[in-house]
Amino acid sequence: MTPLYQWAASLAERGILPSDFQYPFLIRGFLCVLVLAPILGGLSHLVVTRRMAFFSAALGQAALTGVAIGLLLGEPLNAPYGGMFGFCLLTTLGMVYVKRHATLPPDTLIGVFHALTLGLGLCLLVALTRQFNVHQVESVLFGSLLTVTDADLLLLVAVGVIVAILLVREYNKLLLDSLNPPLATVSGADSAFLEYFFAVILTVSIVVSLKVIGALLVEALVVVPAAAARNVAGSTRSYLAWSILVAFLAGAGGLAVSTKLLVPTGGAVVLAVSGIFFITLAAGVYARRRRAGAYEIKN
Amino acid sequence: MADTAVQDVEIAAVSARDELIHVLRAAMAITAGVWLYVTNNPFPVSSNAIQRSLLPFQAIVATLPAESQLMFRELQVSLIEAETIRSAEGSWPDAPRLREDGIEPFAPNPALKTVAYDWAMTRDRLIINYLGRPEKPGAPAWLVRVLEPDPSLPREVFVEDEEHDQLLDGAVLHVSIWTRPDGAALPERIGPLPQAEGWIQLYAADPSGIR
Repeated sequence: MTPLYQWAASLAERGILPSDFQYPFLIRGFLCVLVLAPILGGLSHLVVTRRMAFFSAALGQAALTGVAIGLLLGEPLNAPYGGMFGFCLLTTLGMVYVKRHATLPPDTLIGVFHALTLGLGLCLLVALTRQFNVHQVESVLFGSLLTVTDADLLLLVAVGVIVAILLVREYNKLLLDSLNPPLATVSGADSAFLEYFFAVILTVSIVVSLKVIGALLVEALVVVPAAAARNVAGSTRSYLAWSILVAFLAGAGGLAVSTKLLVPTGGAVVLAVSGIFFITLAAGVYARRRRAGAYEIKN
Repeated sequence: MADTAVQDVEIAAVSARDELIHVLRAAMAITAGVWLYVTNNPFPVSSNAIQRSLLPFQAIVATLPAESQLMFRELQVSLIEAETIRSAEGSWPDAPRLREDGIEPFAPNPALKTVAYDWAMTRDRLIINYLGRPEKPGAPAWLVRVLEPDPSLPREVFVEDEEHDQLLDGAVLHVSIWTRPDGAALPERIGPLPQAEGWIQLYAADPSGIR
């Protein structure tokens, strides 16, 4: 990766790129945004359609516990991926299974898992502070571009490619199953499989995003891009395209703001995506009023 | 015609028991995968317990060349001297004062053939920087950073580690020593986050306190 960083730094020195690109951490951050935007933006419209926003929030919290488990198992502070992937995937399987078979409403069940994982995480964090300086741990828990390494970036790219291939392969079935599960089943889709499949790829995508965005805020990037896109999209295709565009703009904007104002990247990205949501909300209302006005004049 | 005719399709759901078996099998596979991963971690981390608790912009000084280790030790000692002056006189000594007092590395040791440095003290509100720019290109730059307590906040509890020092009046300081490999390409001003500008924070021992 060093030649890439040197090339970007030389472009920054010549004024072709912003001067901040002389720092490798910022180039890594920008590459992360380039990879994360299509993954999270692409997943987000399915998350909203399948009503899995709370599920995503619960997964983000579960990742906190996963970090603690990974570190307690002896993983390095900078890459507790075993604990994160393992615990989050197990939690996902548990949540989906119980949700499918319990008679309680899904949000209640997810709330139970949410509380359980968070309580366990807090207890483990206390044990963790006996091994690690708490200042060392917090940058991993809350996301910081400065802790992202080349290995993290490569993992993100690898996961991004796999998730993209799987999503493209199953996209039509997933969308139909999200909109009308009985119709999807009649047309040959395995609804149970799709539910587990989507939950697993969502989990994997959330876990690889954590170092950039942070465990507490990651759900914002899997919910708000689609919410913003829905305000302005006119078709399913444009819904997907807008979701990806909003995720990219929020990621790049948040990165720029966090670099200039020295605020946490995760917080800046979430503020940016929330700002875009309210702009699209106003744009959507304005567009609908204009259309309604044109219709009245026509008639 | 047969393709377009209305058909009855039986939707047979998987039984809860079969689904549970599938879920348990997947859970066992995940657990086994994590166990294999944890026992053969592919991330390039030294088997040394200290390296395990470091972030990417942190390093243990023992892993640096002998010259850098010597500079780190001298800066640790000079920081104590500067804190003593701060406690006694109420203000931080500037670099010429430390040089006059013969405190290394601000006062160069003629017996050592090391790189000469141009030292300067700057203050940005509560942050005090002692920045050493090398006079030889390619040599590392050095930074001693002190963060004074915010007088509007309650007094912090003192933790005895490398990142905290205490003045005689009990005020707790956050202190750190940083190095940057290419000292010639330093920006004019050091920002609040040196790690964002390519600086590496150095520790003498494990920052997590594992012994």
